[in-house]
Amino acid sequence: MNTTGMTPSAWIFMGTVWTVVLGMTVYCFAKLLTSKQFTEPDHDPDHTPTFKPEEE
Amino acid sequence: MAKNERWASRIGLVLAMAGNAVGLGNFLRFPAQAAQNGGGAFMIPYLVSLLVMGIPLMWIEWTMGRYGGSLGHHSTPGIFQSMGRSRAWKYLGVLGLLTCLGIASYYLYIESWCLSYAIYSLLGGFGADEPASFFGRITGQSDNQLFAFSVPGLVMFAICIGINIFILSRGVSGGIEVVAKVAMPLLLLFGVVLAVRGLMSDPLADEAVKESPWVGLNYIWSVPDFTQIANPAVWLAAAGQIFFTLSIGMGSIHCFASYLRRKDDVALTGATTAWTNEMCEVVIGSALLLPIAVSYLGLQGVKDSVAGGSGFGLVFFTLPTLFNNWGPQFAPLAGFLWFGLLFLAAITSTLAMGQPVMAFLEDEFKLSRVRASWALMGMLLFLAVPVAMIHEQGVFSDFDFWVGTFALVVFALMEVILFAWAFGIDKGWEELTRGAELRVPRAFYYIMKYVTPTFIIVILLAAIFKPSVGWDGFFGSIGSGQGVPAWEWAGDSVIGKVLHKDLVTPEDASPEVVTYYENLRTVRTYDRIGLLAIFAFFSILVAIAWRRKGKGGTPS
Repeated sequence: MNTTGMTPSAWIFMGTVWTVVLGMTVYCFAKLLTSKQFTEPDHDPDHTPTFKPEEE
Repeated sequence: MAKNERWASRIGLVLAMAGNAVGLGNFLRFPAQAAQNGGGAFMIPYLVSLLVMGIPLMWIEWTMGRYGGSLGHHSTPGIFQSMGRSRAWKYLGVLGLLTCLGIASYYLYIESWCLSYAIYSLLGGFGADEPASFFGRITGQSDNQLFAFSVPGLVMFAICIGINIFILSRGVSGGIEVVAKVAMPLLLLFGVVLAVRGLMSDPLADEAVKESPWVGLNYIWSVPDFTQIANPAVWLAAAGQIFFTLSIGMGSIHCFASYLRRKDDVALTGATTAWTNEMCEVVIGSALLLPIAVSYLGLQGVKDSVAGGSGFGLVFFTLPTLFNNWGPQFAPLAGFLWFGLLFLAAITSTLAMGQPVMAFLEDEFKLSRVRASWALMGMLLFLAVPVAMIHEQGVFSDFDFWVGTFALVVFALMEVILFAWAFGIDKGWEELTRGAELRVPRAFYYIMKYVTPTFIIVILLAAIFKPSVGWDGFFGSIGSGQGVPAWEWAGDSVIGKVLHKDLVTPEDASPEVVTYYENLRTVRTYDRIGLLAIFAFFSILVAIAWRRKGKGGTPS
């Protein structure tokens, strides 16, 4: 690839943002895929909320 | 019934949520906005908006959805009512249904264009045919002609509606989740293949290449001109893009999150969705349209072609021809990959827009899934037929402004007030962090309570009262000592739209053009009445459903 159109400062700016975005995506997916949630049985079939809903 | 449905897998949920967020905005609107707003200067406000508005709203919507789902509500009227004390909240929640339905009606139309272009590309059609004439054939539209339609275009539109309704009728795990698991990896694959091929274009090796594609990438990522960052118009554009790209301010995220169990995490899954969307936009989106277009049109040519527009012309009129430079074998495939990518991005979003309406009918009126899907199709056709049969400057543009832009901001403001103030930020924070597998920084407690609502109010006011010289021109005039410029509403401001300031008949217009503009204004007035009628219709349905509940009726 001929990358002569990119200035060094653009490389740094793009590299920083891409690293943050890709890093956060990989980090979130890694945590998510190693989580045990969704593989455990549902112990709360009633799905009771923490707080009671507001009465009208 | 909707309340018994659950996601089959967590990865399926994340892909479906990401599919909801990743749409045409990532690949069309983002590069066009970046090009119009100074490239690098756009990225700083964009990233700030993501942190103080996008991610907080994403978490708020996930939390609200899970909370409402635990009470048997999978659409925003019920979710809002379960969190707010006032009876009015359920009616304000109707806006979440209206936005989904309204946006889906014209989004599906674009989806059908993408499918038509993908098939035509694969058949090699753009080797000889002009994309603009193909566009004319599938829409049947021409300048100054209000009513027009194309039979092939309507057939493709009907096919797209049919595909969506069929998938939705299969349910959350059997339909939406299955499609997301196939579509999202394919979309990423198509994007990466095109980006790599596009960045390999070399002006030294190919005389058709005017400029290095890296010039396009350099433009987006050039070090910001910090004077541009002080420009309020750039901030508004960046904040608007965050709304579009994350699909926040509609009822779709609430709906998908409502199928979670009460102990399921929302912090990590919400963050994963947001960052996956950003990867598709900031990494893949920035490496596709602009670099490919710049290599054959030059940077100035691209700036000119996206000026004041959304990038649609570049995508549907120009790009198919540019792919011909990639050789007779690869050009049809490239066209198929590009429009296939857009089709996949669009369909995963339209599915998310259809589900809240179906869930509302299933929850509150006990309709079966199949009956709910037929009802949704009827409502979609009611809105979609005028979108397809009237010039795009009529219903299409008007829906895009009122339900696809303005209503999103209004809805987002309502939900952040409900979550942080009516429900209470302490209860909201406890809901958000319950079962969380990601430590949410405490700063977001204050951001959600103070910064996000303030940010949205500023955007809303700026959109309502925008002057014709733009906010940059307005403040620039004051800053340079020229005083406050004479006030005139901008055509794209909310008040300007109400007054049809964007449809002023040209002074030297022919009688035909004068009639066209008069008809266009009439059509826009009626389509707004139509949107209000749909809002009233859903409000009546909500009133009936809650009255039944009050009498011990069946709604949950």
